[in-house]
Amino acid sequence: MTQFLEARNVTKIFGQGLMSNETSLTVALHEFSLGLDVDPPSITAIVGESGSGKTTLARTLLGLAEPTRGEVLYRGTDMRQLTSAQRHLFLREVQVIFQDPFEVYNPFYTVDHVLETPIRKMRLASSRDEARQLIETTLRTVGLRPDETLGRYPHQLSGGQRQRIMVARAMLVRPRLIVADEPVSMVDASLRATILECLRQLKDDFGISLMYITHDLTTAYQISDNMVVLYRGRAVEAGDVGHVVKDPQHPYTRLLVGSIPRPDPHHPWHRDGVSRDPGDLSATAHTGCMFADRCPSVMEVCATREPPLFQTQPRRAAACFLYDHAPALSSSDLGAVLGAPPG
Amino acid sequence: MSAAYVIRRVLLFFVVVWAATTLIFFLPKLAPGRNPIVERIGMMVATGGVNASGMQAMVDAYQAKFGLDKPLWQQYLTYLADISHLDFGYSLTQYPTTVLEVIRTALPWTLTLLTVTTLLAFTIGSVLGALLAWPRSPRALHALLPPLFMFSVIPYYLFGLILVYLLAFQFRIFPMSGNSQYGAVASLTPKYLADAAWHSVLPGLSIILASLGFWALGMRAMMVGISGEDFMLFAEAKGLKGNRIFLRYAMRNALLPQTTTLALSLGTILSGALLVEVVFNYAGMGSVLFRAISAFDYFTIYGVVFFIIVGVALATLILDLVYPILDPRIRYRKG
Amino acid sequence: MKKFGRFLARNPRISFGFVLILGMLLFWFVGMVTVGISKAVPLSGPPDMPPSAQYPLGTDSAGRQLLPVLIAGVPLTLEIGLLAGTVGLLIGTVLGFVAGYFGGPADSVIRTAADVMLPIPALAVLVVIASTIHTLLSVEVMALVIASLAWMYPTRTIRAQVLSIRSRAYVEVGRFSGETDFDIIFSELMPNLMPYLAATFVAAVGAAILAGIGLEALGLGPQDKPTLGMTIFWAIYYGATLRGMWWWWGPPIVVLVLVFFALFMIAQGLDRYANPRLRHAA
Repeated sequence: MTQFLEARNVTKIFGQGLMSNETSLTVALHEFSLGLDVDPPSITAIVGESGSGKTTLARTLLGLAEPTRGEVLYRGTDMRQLTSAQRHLFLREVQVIFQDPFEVYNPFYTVDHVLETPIRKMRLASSRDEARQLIETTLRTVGLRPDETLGRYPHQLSGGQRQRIMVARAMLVRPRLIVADEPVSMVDASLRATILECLRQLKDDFGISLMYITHDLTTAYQISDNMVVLYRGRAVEAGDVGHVVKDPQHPYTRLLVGSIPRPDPHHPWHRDGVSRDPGDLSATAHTGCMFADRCPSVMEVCATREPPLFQTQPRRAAACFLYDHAPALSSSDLGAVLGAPPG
Repeated sequence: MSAAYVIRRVLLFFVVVWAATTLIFFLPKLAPGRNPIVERIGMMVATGGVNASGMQAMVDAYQAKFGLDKPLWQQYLTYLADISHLDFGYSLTQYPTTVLEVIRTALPWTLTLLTVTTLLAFTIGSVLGALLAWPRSPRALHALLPPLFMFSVIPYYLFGLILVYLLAFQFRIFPMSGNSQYGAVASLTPKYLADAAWHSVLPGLSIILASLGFWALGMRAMMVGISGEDFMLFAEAKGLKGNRIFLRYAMRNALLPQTTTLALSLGTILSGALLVEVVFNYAGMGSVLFRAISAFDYFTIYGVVFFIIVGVALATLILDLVYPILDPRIRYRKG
Repeated sequence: MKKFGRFLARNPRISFGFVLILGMLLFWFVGMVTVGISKAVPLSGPPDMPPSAQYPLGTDSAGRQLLPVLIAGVPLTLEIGLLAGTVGLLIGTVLGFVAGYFGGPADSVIRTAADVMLPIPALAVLVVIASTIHTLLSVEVMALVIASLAWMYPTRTIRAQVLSIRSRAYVEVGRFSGETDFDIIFSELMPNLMPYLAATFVAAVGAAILAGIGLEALGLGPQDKPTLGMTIFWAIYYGATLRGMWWWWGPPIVVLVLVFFALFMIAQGLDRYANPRLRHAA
């Protein structure tokens, strides 16, 4: 069955050119596979630290970057070979929200421009009045007042407002999937919850799936159904978000969860398990598990080969030799553990 | 500086020269209808001025090489071969002098005028510009800004006209034209040299005064930009003396983009200098070109143009090779 | 229109330059209406007359009255500059955008062509062209000839600017809003490059006028039209400098200096507008 959007063995290497050598290459993604379905709609979080490859993953899935190896398929067709009609369909079904709420606006125009352009180019309304109506309704959906927002220049609005306008823009076309790359990391903390809640509502009210890319486990937990944890270009754990956060299996996930400070003076931030800094991020041929140099549970086998994803539960998988008693998933089956949300 | 860089620059030099010479060859041929050289020669033959000085032989030789019956590629190759031997043919107005001879006599004058004026204008202008940007320089200097502004906008040769009128005609301080007393024979005697130098003052002054403003303003802008950089603040905080910061830090860094500007302006400076020569009837390449154009002496025109192009390309090459010596960043980066 | 007025008010240098040029056009207009240019041809008066009540700017050696000559010359020289500047800018913009936005082989070709042709002194090649077709040299032809060598610098500048903004996030957002490459170039990129385009235009016009009078100083200009450069040429040709006939070559020089000064002011003003940092410098 063809999946809606699928990455197959995608490897992305930066720094390749006529004059590059080993040390100047960066492997952002390594043989990464992920399949997404949008029926029923769900929210998947892609979690990782800087350098984990999450933004690269988003960009390759969106077609903004080409994989060095492997392919990205939209409804079964390679993204690089989409016909014009398919491309139009893609734009109607997949939309994006970027991280920086300022750079996404063309300083020459008012913010109306980002809302009017898709309506005009993708013919979402048949008259100017209808377009105006659509814009105003959508703005209200994301919690903004049109009279306070329209006609202003980007620098006249706050970061939160601007990002909400971007959410409005993304949903204008009623896509099946929105890929949001760290949508709230440059927004004031007080507004983050509001915007994320708005995104979550999109799933309930409009059936729009979300791929939420972030480094923040707590917000991921708040709104997602599934979670994929990335470490240095590879998926190390995936599954139902509640289980992954409450009972992390991969040592890296444990590290991430353990790093969340608890506002309780009786529970000091524990020191054990905090590892050394990650080593050099270059592409030198690496054998074995990428996390081995930081792992508190490292074993001998970890240095010899990379662990595949072991399906530890129907909806859990972890790439760690601690679980080699469980059946190994072939990489393209990552989507299998990301099931529908309960109920 | 790496060998690769040098080779690349030298290669670029030859490419530019080749492109320019090819352009000079083909452009006239694109003229609607006819070949101007052939036409010119035909005109000379018709008016009978040819037989008198044995030009017929030259005309025949030319026809043999570049006659319309020869295939274009053959003409082109012959042309390239000639050029590489610096054979530009004969001057149609001063037959039997070759074009090369004419240029050879005129070139030293232009070269001296150019180098002296450019060096003076660049150095004085840059120092002036640097001082103008330095807050601790005397206030009086700033009074120079408006005139410098004005002067930088005027083309050199127009400036020359003004100077000639003021200083040669109204107040008969300097000679009005030529590069030596009428009838003087060129020689390396001190008397002649002094005379030549005296005649060069006005042309030189035109160029210097008109370009001073350009260099000063450019340098001032660079200095202002550099003064705002963090390393300058650090130097001052370290307690380095003002003069030292000024010279070693600010000026040294500002000189780099200023030199780049020099390299880019060489063509403009040369063109301006040639026109100044025309105004003063100064016996350099400018006047040669002027007379050649008036007489439709195409061989000379093309010869002079070739030298102009090669000259500028060569000067740019030299500057490009010198630049890494000034800028250590390039030195280390290129190996 | 009101936006333009406010823009001028906030940028005194640009306004000043503008006013100067408007002043010149006014001079031309008033001159055409009052004096007319019929007397700008030879034998319109006794030769070599200094300025007087009857001949406000005197006459030249061929008997042209020099005030009409000046009135006729102003628009001609401006025309050369504007025409050559516009054509040069158009070519430069197209090439710059193609090279900067699309990259690839087109970029390599355009960039190499511009880099190779830039160091060639324009005057040299212009002399070759102009001397070849000297009989065909009208004002328009001169402008086109000059434009053919004026595109390199605009191409490079615009290409660099395009490169710096083509990967901005709002371009990617535009793509996801259904914009085609065409839309992105014209709707997203070009408006942001307006200051640079304007600055490049002014520079191109200035360079074109300079090239024009340079060619004319050598005699390579329209033989029958009294452009400012040709007037100066005739003055030199007839030895007006040696005879102290300042009224012949003086006024054209004054006008030219004013034109260059105006363009310089506008260029500086645009520079400050595009780089607000410069506003606070010395």
